[in-house]
Amino acid sequence: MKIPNIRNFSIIAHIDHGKSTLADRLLEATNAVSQRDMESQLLDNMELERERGITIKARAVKLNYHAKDGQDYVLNLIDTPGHVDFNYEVSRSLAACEGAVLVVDAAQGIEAQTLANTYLALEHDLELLPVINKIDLPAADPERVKQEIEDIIGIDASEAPLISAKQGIGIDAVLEGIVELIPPPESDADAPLEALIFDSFYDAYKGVIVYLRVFNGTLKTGDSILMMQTGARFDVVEVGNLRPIGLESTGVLSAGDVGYLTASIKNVKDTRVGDTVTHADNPVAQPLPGYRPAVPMVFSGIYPLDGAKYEDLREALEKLQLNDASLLFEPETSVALGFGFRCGFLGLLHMEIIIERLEREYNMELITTAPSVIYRITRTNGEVVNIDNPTNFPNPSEIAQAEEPIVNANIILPSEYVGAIMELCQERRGVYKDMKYVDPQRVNLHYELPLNEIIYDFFDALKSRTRGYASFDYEMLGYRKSDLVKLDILLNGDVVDALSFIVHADRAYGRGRRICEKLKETIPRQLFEVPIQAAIGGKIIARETVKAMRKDVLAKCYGGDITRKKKLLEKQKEGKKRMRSFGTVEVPQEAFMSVLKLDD
Amino acid sequence: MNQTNASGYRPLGLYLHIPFCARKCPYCDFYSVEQSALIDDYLCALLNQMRDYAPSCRAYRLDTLFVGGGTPSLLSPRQWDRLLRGVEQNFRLSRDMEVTVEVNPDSTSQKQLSHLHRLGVNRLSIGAQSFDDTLLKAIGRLHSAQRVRETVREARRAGFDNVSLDLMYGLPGQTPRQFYDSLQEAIALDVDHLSAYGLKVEQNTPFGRMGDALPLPDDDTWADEYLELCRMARQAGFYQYEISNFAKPGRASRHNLKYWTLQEYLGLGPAAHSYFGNRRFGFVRDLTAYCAFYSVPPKHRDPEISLLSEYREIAPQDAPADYVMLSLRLTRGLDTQEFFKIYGRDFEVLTRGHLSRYLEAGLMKKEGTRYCLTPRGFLVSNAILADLIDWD
Repeated sequence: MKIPNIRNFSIIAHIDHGKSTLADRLLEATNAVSQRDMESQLLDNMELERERGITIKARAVKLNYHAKDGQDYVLNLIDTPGHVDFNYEVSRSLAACEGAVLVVDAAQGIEAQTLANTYLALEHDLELLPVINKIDLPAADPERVKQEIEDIIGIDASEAPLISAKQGIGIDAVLEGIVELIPPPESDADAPLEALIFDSFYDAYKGVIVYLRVFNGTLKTGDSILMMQTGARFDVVEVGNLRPIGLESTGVLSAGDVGYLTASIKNVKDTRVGDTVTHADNPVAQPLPGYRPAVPMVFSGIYPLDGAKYEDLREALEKLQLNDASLLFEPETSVALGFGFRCGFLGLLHMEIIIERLEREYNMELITTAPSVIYRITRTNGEVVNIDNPTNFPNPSEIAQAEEPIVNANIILPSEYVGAIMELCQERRGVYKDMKYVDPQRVNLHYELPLNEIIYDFFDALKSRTRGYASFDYEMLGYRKSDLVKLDILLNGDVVDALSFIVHADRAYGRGRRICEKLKETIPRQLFEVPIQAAIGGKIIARETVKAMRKDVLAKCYGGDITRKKKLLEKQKEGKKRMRSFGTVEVPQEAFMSVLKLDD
Repeated sequence: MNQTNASGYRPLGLYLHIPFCARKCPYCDFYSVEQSALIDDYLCALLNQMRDYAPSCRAYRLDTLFVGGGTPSLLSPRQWDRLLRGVEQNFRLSRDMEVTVEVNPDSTSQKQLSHLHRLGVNRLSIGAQSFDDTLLKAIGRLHSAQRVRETVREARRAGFDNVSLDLMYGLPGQTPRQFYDSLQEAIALDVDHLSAYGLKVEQNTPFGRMGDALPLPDDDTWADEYLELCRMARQAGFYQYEISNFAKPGRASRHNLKYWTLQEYLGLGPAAHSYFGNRRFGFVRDLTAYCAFYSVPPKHRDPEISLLSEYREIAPQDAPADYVMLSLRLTRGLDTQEFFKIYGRDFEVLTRGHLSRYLEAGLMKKEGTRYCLTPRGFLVSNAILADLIDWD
């Protein structure tokens, strides 16, 4: 049974192509929010999101639209993040929709994330409404971009609305397009309840707030519900619509609707995103197909600078996890850093965002270890182990075979930079697959790259070598045999476990040398000379020395002003607390971060 | 420590601050103003402050007096008479009291020095800083090298047998050669005591505000200059008794030593600091507030107004760290037996193996039961002390 007056849709786009601005315009055009309440980019309401201009968390909102056919429609807009790290979040938003608005920049054309997000949408059988944005730009070339969409994506773009979200041009055409092109939900309000959780977050007063899409049946306040995967049961306290300015309790959600529920849920783990909600006394036989679960690909140790803050860090991570199910963490110990957590992230951006949030929102001072991917090691006794922490890397004599994760990478860039980027991919041990022209000026370069070569600073290198004109996306391909070694860093002759990492044998020498140089720059001169060495097994492959400090004295003491001297020493003692001691060597926090960015 | 000497009185050092300069030097962070017209008003206030503190000093006898600045040599003979009479009237004095006055070559004279000697001043500290005229000018000094030489001769003629010269190194634009030449000149003048201070740029001075524009020598040059200073002074018969102070036998500054040996001293005047009755305190760097407060009789003073900029009782748990910090400032170092006797704690245990590393590296040496810093150790003494007192 069709629910003719509802449209559930997402907006997908490459970063900066205007997705959030278009969302704002749709909100305005449907009077979902008054001009006075209108903050630019309403949907991005996390401070970090605004600063970085990206959407991290998916969000949803209900709009009422009076269409040209005279009918009133409910449009449920489910926002998606644009960055490659958050494909998982994109995926779960798309699963709740029947269609998607594909925004393409009229000047830049199709970029890597345009493609990646399009493929995700097609995987979910979504109807796509192409929209050409930024037609007001002098460099806009809508006809060329239409052609690109037809050639590369293979959908009809002849009717694509030409708009400028910034100037408010063509917004009506987008709304009409949504109504005409995107199919209404096909649902049965009388069937057993079947609703998909696509997001959830923790609210201090209401407990977990679950965002869901009702596929069949009806959900009401007071209903006893069952989470089919976790088996958890709850009594619904509140159900309703998602409005830009907050939640609007309605008491009921019917088939085809998008909305929220609360049920005094204390633990976000009981409301796994992707799970199916049904009635406890009349459940559906099968849960809805879940979707691609979040797979952390990058792992790093996170330690409190002050060891006494370990419990605070745990609490902060737990709180972040309430709203970010893709963040994984478990306790770990480092000889060098003490007690901390091994954390799994979707990618390097995700990692940076989590660290920044811990520092900003929870006032944590942190030390992070070099990020690692999951390596697959077959021991000589046949046992296969997954290693995400260099500390657990077996002795070379115990390794029968080592494998590392490989990704399929698509890089879209102006053709003049192809040489530079092929060189970069070559340096990063990439295997060339093919190259296709997207349009006469731009190519899509397809490489297979080891994941551990792109988690450090590949994106930065890519941007700097193409003056910012390249876009990049990747997906996991699988594991491949590789000649891997563990590189150790020694300070004053002792291995600092937190600085060890796993690297391809061919890259070990260069990386070791660069790390030694970098550490020499960041470790301050101390009372004693500090040798810095890089070693594989027992073999030293690089060495630098921090010379002994020669001057640190208060030569003059002002007329018996002992307090002044004392304060100076207290400050010095405090400064030492910002350092980590390894035997006799004191290493500032920055040193750990600086070795993560080697730009080699 | 509050020893009582044979006479039954406890010894006390008195510091009097003269916060006036003809012109402020751009590197100096001592408190002073360029308004010598206010000296008379100030002396009036200072005498009132002495009167204020006199009752709490009844159990004490002054064995050192240090008049520093600022520029004390800006005082006229009449003002000197008034100041030193004030000291006599308010405090009990030791017969062998060390009385030091700081003078600047540009504002002193044969006449003034003779007058001071007659008044009982027996030690002079002359602010020479350098014997290079170009450099003297660059650091804002108002005197020439020749004037320094004359001042030393005038001091001798006036009868002073205990004369100290202040020198500086690590100055912007100063080459090591220039410093060694100045040091050689000072030695040649056959003074009894040398204070040589490496420049530390303080934030709230003109030099501090110049930031990176100041052509300062690098740390290695600075360190080399210091080590050469220690070597040359020793060779010339000076004994190094503190990080920056060198004396002919028997000529170490007794007042200066009080700072580092936990002996009591009272500092009067704005910005002066005291260690008195197990308290450390200091007065505000504000001449106007100071004069306003002390220009009226005690009963009219506003009890709400405090001239103290700091005031702290030495907590028992802080005392051992203070002791370590202070005693290692001196070449005689820290006596582990004495430390144990006073605090009941074992210095070697407390410092967790740091000491042996310093001994090994030649930053410290051990003489009997005493640990002392070597010149190389003094150069990095902040870092060493921060390690040594990090026991909480």
